[in-house]
Amino acid sequence: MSTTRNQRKPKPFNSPCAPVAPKRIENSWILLLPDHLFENDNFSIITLPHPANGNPAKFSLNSKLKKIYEVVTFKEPYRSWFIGETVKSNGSIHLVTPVNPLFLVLPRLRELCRSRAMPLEDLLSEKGFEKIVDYVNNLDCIGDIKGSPDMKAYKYNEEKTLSWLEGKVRQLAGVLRSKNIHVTSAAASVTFVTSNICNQSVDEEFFLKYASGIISEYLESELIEQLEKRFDFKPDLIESVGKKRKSDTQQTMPNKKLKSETDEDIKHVLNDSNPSINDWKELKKQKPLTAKEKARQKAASGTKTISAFFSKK
Amino acid sequence: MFEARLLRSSILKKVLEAIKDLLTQATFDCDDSGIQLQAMDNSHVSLVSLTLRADGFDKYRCDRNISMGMNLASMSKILKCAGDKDTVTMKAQDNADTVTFVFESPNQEKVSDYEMKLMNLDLEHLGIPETEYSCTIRLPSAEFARICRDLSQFGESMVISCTKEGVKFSASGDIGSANIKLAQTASVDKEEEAVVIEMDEPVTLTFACQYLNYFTKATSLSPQVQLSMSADVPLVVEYRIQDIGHIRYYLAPKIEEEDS
Repeated sequence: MSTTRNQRKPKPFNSPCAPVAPKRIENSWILLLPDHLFENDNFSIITLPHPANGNPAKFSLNSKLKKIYEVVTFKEPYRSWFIGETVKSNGSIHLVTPVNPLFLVLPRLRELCRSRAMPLEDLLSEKGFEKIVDYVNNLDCIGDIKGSPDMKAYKYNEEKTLSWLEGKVRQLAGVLRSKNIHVTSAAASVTFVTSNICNQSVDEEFFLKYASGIISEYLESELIEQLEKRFDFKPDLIESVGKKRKSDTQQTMPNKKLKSETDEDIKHVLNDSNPSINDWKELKKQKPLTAKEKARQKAASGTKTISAFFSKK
Repeated sequence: MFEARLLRSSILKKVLEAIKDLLTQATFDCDDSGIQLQAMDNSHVSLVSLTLRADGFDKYRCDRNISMGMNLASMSKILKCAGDKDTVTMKAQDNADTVTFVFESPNQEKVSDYEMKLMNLDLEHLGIPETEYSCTIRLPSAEFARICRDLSQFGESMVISCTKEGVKFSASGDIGSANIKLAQTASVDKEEEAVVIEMDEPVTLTFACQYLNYFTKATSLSPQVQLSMSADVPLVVEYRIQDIGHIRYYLAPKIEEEDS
């Protein structure tokens, strides 16, 4: 067994003396949760396409607070957990971080509602999205409402979306500044105090770039380009900040890049609890549209969806 | 074991022609009563429902219900290999991941078989409620195809309005507008050429022309087509396939006051 280098106590197992069957250890995983999610009776983990790339990702729901959390995984080699009297060789740690449901809905809205309006319920009727219908509000930030307000039919509005994202980036940049997050290039120790204290000398643009980098982890590449155009970043700076960010994220936030590598593991570990794991494969296949299909989509604009009339069996 | 044999492959060929432009893949649900297919197009605006009854086949055997997900482009390629007069047999084992098409020439001199991989499609089935429609219009299918083709030159959407005077198809666009009125035929010499309108309430609905054009690919399946309409519900375009079943297309109406 590999050695453990970890100092943190796993929260779900507060009493280390309690005997736990080895079999259960094998099928368990370490998840850090805020207290209020524990009080939530129907805590569940669901699979949805990740907003940036459409790959399956895990999210958890808090039905009481109507909040969605992303399950992020941090994993290093040579890491294990002690659980009670046993060792769990998979030393990965899962955390939940709140995520705005609009980010999850955005790719779907962009895909289906560019040229026509669609009721929210239909928009979110497939691929596991039906579970988050109740969690989505403020759709006005990224789309225009069409027809009667009861129907909640929305059409994608790029201008609104970019303004909304711009607001998010500026807000995040403000937080980064107030928390003294190191955003310029070159590595720095967290404990290292520079002579120019508090990053005061750092250009505002660095913060914005850093913030847009973080936001971009939840956006499709096309939208990232649009957003960068809007801020008019100089390309060389983007690159250096982007590189910096990769090495820096481990200190500041759980690394998303690592997550994709460890998807397999989550899948493996979650297998016991989640029977609908087969959805994973289906979510992955999305072919580009042919000219014929595009023409058909254009023809479909302005038409209601047929599933609005017929109930699902 | 599933086995279905049709004396004339042309029916299956025509069915494929009628759906392959609208759908890319679909599940054929087979049970002892026959073959059913239900699928939405990619834009989820229209729905195709196909029924082929067991008694319409020359030989039909289905021991266990099976659902076969097929890529329709591939299936269509295979069916193009069959001659119109050939006998076609579809075969699949229980829990198989392939389906076999066997074509036999009328004099049994040539037998060809094609095996196709099945797909695992997890498509949702919609429950279609039995609806009493305010208007049903029966007209020659070629006439309907002609109307759809002609009007689609004028605009993207077509208004179908049914009143007690008759049924009016209209479209308008950049070059102008077009109206086609059909009245109920007074004397019926041939039933196939009749226009029959049954109306309880007048209805006016707007639909995407292109979709109607897709539906008319089924024209060769039936000399007559039946359109059923009620306010604010999907249009039903039904082609009966003689002795074996029918194909129904459902199309959602366009939302009014949409910015075009």
